[in-house]
Amino acid sequence: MNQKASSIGNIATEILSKDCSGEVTRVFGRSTYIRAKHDFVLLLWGGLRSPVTVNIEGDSNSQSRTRVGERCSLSREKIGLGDLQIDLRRAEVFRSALLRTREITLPKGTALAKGVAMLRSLYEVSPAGPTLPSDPALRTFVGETLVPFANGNSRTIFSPVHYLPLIGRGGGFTPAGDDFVGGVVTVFNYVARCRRTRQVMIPSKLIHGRTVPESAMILSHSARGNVDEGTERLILASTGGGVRFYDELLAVARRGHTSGIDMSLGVMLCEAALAQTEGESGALQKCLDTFWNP
Amino acid sequence: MTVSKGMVEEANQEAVERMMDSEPVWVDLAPASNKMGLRGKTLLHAGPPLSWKYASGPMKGAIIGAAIYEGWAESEKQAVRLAQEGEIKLDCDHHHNAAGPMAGVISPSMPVYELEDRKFANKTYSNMNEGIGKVLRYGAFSKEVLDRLHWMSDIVAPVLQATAKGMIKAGAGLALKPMIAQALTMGDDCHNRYVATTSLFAKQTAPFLVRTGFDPKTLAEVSRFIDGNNFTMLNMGMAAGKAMTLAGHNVKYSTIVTVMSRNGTDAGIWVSSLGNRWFATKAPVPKGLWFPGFTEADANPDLGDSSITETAGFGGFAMAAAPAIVSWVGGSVQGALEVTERMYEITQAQHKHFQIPFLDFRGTPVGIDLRKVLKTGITPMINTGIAHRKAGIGQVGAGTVSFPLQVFKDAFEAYVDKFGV
Repeated sequence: MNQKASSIGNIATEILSKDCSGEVTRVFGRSTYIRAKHDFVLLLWGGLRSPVTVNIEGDSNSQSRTRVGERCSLSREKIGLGDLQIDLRRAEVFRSALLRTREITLPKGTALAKGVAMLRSLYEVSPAGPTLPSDPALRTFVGETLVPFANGNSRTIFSPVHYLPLIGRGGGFTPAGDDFVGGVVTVFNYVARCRRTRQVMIPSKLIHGRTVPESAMILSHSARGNVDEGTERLILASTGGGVRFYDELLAVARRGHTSGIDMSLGVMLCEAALAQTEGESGALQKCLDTFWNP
Repeated sequence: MTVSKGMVEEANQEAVERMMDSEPVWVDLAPASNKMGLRGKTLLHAGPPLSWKYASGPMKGAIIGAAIYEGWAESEKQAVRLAQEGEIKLDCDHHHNAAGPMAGVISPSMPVYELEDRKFANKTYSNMNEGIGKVLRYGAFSKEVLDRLHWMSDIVAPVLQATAKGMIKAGAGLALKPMIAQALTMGDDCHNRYVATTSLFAKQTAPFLVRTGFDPKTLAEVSRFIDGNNFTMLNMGMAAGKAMTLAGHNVKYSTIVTVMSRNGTDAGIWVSSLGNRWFATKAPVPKGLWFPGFTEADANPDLGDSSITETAGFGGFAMAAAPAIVSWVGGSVQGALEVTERMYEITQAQHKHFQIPFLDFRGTPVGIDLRKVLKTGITPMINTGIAHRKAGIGQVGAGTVSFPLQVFKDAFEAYVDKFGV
């Protein structure tokens, strides 16, 4: 079976350029994770583009016989997985727009609180239930890290240990806590890169063993601005000075059981904390009241 | 104060319980001027608010036809001028507790079915069904179309009105909920397939129809008309759907959708707790099967209030009950089953009264929850007829259409603005 890729992420390109072999670690309906060279490549039939993704045209029936543990050959021209051959030669390279810098304008506190209200409402109808909102680790993180930062104390926000209790917490393939931290760190660092200020660094070795390797990889890449195009659209819309980012928020919030909501919540709360440091008085508290004290 | 989860859940359950508890009964059939108070050159239409300028071909055709039917104009040209100059006032069916299929045009002298909700005391309305093909609701307005409408008004309506009165007098008013419930177990979806429902209607009304006092020739004509049109009961089914959803409307904090409708240009919804505010966007074009000689290129964007059936928990939501419908709207039996299964993901409850035998008599999905639509990205699936995009031609096919996500986003944002922050 031969198929063609329409897009390949910049990180996937780097990995595949090393002409190596890989091993299948996860197989879902339309996606397959392949471990290679201490990193991962995600084969995705259709779907959003991302830095680690190879987006394949056509249906995903061809991967139905793929099994976890199966070996595959990887090169810049072709991926061979059992009898499936994926031609990469005409695939365009996707690179996240968050790697580029620009002027940042954060939303008003009321706009962010509205976004948080939407997310809270969507938690209520998620099949998995609202795992993250009721997790004490989230309250601790918010109380000890985001609130002090919003109030002008930036000591804890740069300290990786404050993020670790959330890593691996909650259900889902990518645990809810990972998704939330991913949202916080991605937007924080994007704003920091644009303004040439200090970024948050969570060393991979600290995350290792606390969560599934694929989630750790996503977290690590997103902290550096390598995000999928849905996350990219949300962050660009909500830091671009426009007043409309709810469509992007709702699009991301649809992902997984609560994965997209968890990540979006991280983005909203972090932006509220950042906005408060810039004089948007009470922005974070407004969001937290909306989220926890309706 | 913002709304807590418990408050929303309670409100949604209340809205859906009210929808399911509604008991619409057919009580009358008389001119809209009499029953709905339509006055002057006012025409009601399907879907969200619309002006002549932005009306689609089939909607314009139906407006032209209705203007000639009413005697306001003698020709297409005159009717167009009246509409362009604003002499004909347009308003939504839903603003008058009515629901009309396709263009859904109701004019003052057109007979309308009146349904009374015996539980919640609401009255709802719909016009009479003309059949398929070249008909007013699909934008056709030729002489044969208008002659048929006059014949329906002059001959069919008086007989059916007398039938309804006879049933009421005998204490046996035609109850729509049990009829729909039964028809769903007989292979109808009660939106695009009304074969069983129409048969049940003929069966239940027959003892009263024959005692209306009209001459046998007239009764035979009327019976033939009912028998010859499998969509006879579509309009009354829609009025029943309107009664059910109206019962669930205006429940504070509820995120349940209480109207979904299209006018051939826009598609729009109402949400229970947001009153009669429309959230609308461009109407999609249906996919389906085409009558001989027509293709997708001929299709107008979707129109009609008939998606009130899905809003009330039948129609496309009950496709699993109606495997034969795929020969009319396209797709496969398995696909029809999957549509119903998907709709459970975006609804509040399983219907207490409407059941699907093939799913072990599981209740149909009922009560579209705005939040679930947005969380899943699954949008309501509608069974629909397809009109030609040009005025005057009529129906060119039947199919399915997915309601646009944007209206749910807009409504959700308005909901959060009202209650959430």
